Amino acid sequence: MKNILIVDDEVNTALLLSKFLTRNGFEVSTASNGSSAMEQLKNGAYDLVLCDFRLEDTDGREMLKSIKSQYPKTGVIIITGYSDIKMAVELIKMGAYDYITKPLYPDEILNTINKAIETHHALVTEPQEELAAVSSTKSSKEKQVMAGDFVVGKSKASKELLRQIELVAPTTYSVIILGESGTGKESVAKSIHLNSPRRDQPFIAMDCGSLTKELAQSEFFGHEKGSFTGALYTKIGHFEMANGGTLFLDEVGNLSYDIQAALLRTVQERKVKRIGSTKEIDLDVRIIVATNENLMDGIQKGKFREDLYHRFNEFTIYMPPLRERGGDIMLMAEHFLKIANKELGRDVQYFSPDVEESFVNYRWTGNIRELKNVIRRATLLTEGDTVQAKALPLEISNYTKIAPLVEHSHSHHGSESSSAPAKEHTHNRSDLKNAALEAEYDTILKVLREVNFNKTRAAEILNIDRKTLYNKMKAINLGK
Amino acid sequence: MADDGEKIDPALGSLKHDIRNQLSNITLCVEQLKFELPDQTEDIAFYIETIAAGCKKINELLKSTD
Repeated sequence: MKNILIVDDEVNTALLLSKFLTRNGFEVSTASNGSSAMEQLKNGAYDLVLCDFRLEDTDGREMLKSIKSQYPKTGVIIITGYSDIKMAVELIKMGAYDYITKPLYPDEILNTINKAIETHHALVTEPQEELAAVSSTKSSKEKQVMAGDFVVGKSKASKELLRQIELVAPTTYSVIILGESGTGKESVAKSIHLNSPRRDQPFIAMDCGSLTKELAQSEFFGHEKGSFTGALYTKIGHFEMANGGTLFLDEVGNLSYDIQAALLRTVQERKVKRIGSTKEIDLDVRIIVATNENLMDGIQKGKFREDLYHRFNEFTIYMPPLRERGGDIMLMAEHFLKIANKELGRDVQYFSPDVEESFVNYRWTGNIRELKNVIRRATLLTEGDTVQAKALPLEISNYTKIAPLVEHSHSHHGSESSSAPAKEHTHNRSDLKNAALEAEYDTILKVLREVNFNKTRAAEILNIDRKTLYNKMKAINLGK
Repeated sequence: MADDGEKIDPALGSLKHDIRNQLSNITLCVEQLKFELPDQTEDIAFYIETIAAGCKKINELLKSTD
């Protein structure tokens, strides 16, 4: 029996909702203001709170904050007469499961409540990606393209990205989002969803990278209670949860071949069956997938099915890596600085010129996620109002010196570049020591490129330890 | 959506909001009535349907001013 607390200052509305929900199998209590609601929450365990945005002593936002901080397991749905998308997105970001506008329709209420409770139970073990908002949201016809906290950039690459999102969102096309790790693929998927006719339906995100073979079937398709050892309850799979809405599959290249086959069947037949059940459920799901590897390579190597690829690839969006986004880098840095300041209660306002230079030249292999973490750390370490180079990780503050060494033959789309950059940097000495240094430099550079400048992996491949690699890289600098 | 109504005429926006609140209650009542009256006479069924249709129409009218 699921427990719901209704918080509404209009007595009739609260009573009507209560009777309606009781009739539909829920255990319902009501409260007419914020403080009595919090009292009730203290005295009982509730699965869900249905809270009106306007209350006599507080508002939906404050209630949401209080409930989420004290009772994280309790879902919150906000009811209001306003259709304000900025508010909706903010509430969802703050942890509301959803947002229903008046007038209230019985099926809509039930649907949303059921989905809230199911999603909460099913997803309670999956850590959600920090970068994007959770679940579904209501939107108005107002043009708000980007979801959550995605900073809308000004660079050419960003404008093109926005244009592509606006183009594909209203269609039913499946989309592949191709981009390096940390470029905001989930945010883009969420934005597509919010700009599509499915915006009022669920948006379900799945991280395929963390799925084991055993769990994958269950996560996608669900299972019936008792269908295998350990199946203690009926689980609703992600396809079902996303029914009517959008399903986002992150790191789809990581799926095993068998699961790919099952996915293909599901997507083609538009029907899903839970494990252990014979009942076929009709599906109406819009699919968006993301990958940070070129799926075509995977196909050639036999790791990814070509037919599945073509199913997904009705439209491809390329996420530009952060380093190609020019002026956006500082724009985002400032945005993350504001957020970090708020979180830590600091007031760091500026970046020193050499920090700016480092940021603009650094490779940002972790892209936006890396930038966010660097800013957070720097904010913590900065005492004054300006971030100095010493608050940055060594690999970034050093980058201004390495940059000319490494970037000059780097072609724009990160593909394999020419092989012998060292020639420019030799002093025409032909002694043995110099020849050795050159060879070392070339090898190190080649390996670094192959692993996307991940020094830990580079060190592994080169069979030296990380510290040695660091020192060698520094030594290369000094030799110039 | 509702914003446009409010921008053009705040009184209109406010009115719409209040109407939606009342519509909400009426819609829920209709739903409950259907449940409470399983053996509806033809007349009762007609009255209930008319109320429901009326609500739907009112909502459409509201939406048309968005």
